[in-house]
Amino acid sequence: MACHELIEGHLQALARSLPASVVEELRDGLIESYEDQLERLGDAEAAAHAAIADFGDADTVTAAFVRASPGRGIAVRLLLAGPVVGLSWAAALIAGHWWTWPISPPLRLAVGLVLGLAVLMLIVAVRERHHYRTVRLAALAGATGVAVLDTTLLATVVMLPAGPSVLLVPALAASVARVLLVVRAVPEMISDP
Amino acid sequence: MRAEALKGHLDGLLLAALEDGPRHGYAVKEALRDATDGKLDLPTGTVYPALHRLEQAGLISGSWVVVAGRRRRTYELTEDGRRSLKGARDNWQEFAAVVSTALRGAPWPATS
Repeated sequence: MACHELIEGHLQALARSLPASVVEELRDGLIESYEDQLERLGDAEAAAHAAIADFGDADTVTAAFVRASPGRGIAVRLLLAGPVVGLSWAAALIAGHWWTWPISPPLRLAVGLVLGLAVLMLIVAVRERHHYRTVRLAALAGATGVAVLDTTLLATVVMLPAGPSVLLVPALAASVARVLLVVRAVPEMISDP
Repeated sequence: MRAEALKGHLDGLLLAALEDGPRHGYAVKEALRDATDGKLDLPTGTVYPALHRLEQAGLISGSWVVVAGRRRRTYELTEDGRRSLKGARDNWQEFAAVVSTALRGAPWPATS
């Protein structure tokens, strides 16, 4: 059955923010609703208006999908875990006198930049309300940054002749757990739902 | 019924709508409406994100089929979903019993 132009317009508005497969699923539901209304009302224009009213406005539907997106979920978890992991590493690094380690200033600056950018991206992913793709990209960038940072810290501790410290255990465990969390979440984030 | 009254119960309702077999998003909404004689008529667009959330949680699984030339995503309960539905039913019955008792106007126990 040919669909009404109002329905197509509504779907186009949704397609501006949502992934193609989500819009395809919504298209099926909206057309199904339109066909039901058409059978009930017998008028295409009235049926299209009724179906759209029943469906909900594009902003509300988009915002609900953004809230439910896997990218936002991982960004929230990483931001909540951030202070705990950060404090674990701070304690371990201070106890290990990290400022005496032979690490070049550019590398220290790079680590700081990656940390700052990762946190910024995760905040964007959590705060963005209407652009699904922005949430996905920001969460992916932030999560990748966190994983790179954790891997760098782990490699640094392994390579440098830092004395063993009991404070390193929780920091290492936290970083390994965070890297695993990111590795498990990435496929869901990059797959088109 | 107002949507905010459903807060905390939407997941259980959606799982219940899938208990008898696979359904697509619009059919889930229609099943809930029919089961409640029209008293529970959710906006169609809000059902889909909730279904996606349940799928991410592993409570339902989705698959694509082609119907009347259109691709359609249908959902069915997983084993975890069935367990979650049973839990939602138990919690609701306990909650409803407590609230019903309180609303009946029975005297409250005296405090010291």
